[in-house]
Amino acid sequence: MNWRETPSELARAWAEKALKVPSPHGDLIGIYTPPAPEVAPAGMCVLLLARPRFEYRRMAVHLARLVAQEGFAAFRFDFHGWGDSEGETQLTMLDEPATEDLTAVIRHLGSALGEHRFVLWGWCYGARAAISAFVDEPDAIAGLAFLSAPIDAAPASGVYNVRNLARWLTDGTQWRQLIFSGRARRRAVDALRGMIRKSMNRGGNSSEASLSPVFMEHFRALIRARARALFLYGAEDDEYASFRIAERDLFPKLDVATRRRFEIEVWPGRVHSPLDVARQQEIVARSVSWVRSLHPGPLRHGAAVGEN
Amino acid sequence: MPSNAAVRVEMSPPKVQSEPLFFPADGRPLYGMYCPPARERPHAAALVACHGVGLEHAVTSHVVAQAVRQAAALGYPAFLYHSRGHGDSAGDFAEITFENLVEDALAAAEQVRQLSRVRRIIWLGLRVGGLVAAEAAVRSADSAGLVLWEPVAKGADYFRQLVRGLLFSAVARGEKTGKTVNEVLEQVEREGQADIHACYLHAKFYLGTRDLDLAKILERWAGPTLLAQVQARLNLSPANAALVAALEGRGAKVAVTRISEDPGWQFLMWGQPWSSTTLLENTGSWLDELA
Repeated sequence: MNWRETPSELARAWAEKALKVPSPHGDLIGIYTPPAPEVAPAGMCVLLLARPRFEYRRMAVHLARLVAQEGFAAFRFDFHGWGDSEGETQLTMLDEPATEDLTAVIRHLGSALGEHRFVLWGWCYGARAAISAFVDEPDAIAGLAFLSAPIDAAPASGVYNVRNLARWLTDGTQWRQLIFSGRARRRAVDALRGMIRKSMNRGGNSSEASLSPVFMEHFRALIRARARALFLYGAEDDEYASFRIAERDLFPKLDVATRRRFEIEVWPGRVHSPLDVARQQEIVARSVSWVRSLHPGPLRHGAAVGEN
Repeated sequence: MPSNAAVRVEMSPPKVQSEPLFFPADGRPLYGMYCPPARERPHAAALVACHGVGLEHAVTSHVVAQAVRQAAALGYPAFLYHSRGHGDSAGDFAEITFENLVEDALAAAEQVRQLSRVRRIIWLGLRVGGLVAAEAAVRSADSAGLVLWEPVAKGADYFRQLVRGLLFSAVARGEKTGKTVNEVLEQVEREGQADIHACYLHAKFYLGTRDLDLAKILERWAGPTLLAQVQARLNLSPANAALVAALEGRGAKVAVTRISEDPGWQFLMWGQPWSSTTLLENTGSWLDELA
């Protein structure tokens, strides 16, 4: 959206394929971008996790066509209940990322397109979904770009608030889900508990104990895997507050070899909700340069992709 | 078994198939998703869904997909697509104009005609997509109906509301833009674009759309029409009331549904994508009753 399409990007667009991926929740709709044939193949597919799949400002589309020019395949898809995908739409819960969707995609791309090595790129909820994939598919993932996701045990700020609660209480769809879906009822109880816990400030909010146990499980799975990871936040992001605890208390405890696999970048300003196009373009450029660093082939020379 | 025993047959809703694809239009690939009819409906037209523009496309992409699947479940071939510079399609967002958005809608209609072997088209348009659908409906000889979901009545008002909303959200985040709506729109004209909410508003689209008037576009339209107002008000807005009166005055059969909420068209809901059961059900009922 906020970039000027180059002839190379248009060529990648022409090569794209729209796919259906069968999953436990119905068919997921996604777009596969093959790597540009004129560059050395990386042998990896970048899974871009955004909602909707093309991302609010089409960053996922731009990233897909840029990394394809670096020799990486890319795939973006709608989680179930979002965008064009089938499935019931449920309230987002950070501690219940749609791991089943991601696992279905990884396995389908393997069987249908021969993609067996992946780089996962995720933003906020997408990042939490991405890191969850390490539990079931640790050997398939070469890298993780984890952008500005909250990792604390409380629900994300702004969503589970009184105003939204009042709106949901008058929505017939929400009541139907609560009546007919045990899962929806469990999620509602968890959300309510989280709201109460947050308001009572239980468990402390400045210690490792305040981090989400689900995130901790996924983080341990990442540690056990051999993947590299980039953790990118803005200093002014609300989401950074919980990550600061991990930065202070978790990462220093890692052994040297593991710690070396992980990069942490905290930029001035915002990453989670960029306030201007320039910051968004910086995020795209950094994402591409980091993915490029995972390429097993010879380094490219010349201007970096993503710079206008 | 008693001879007069009632036999209960459970009917499950027909399974809708979705076929995502790319199709060529004006030298670039556009994304589309075709849903063939899931049941028999004699003489059904095909439905083409025209999306909102810019950030509004991301906010409303799911409810449009739901509408297309619902139409297919009712027996209509149905198709959604992404215009150039939107979603998964190719093309520069900076180069979009109202005219080329209409061209893409007409190309989408041609695509669904090829896929379904059906000529007639029911146009569904959301927000600016309502203007696009209206223009496409008037230009096409084979238009069978028009569904307008919270259509933009006047281009100038749309842009003022768009910029005002985005400036207000910046202030709510603590960002001091120091700009007024007029200043932003003057900047767009002067410099070719303005960055608001990390999204450009480009002069080409602004200048080509601000003078549009939905009522004027539909001066030649007298086909079956559903107008869905999605606003936080109890009555029809003056613009919508006048549009309904004008259409009915020309002999058009007009149905109206009102959904009393303000979704925040440019703001993506984090918790779940925006949708409306009432909007979908009333649209489905209207389609079901259409001959």
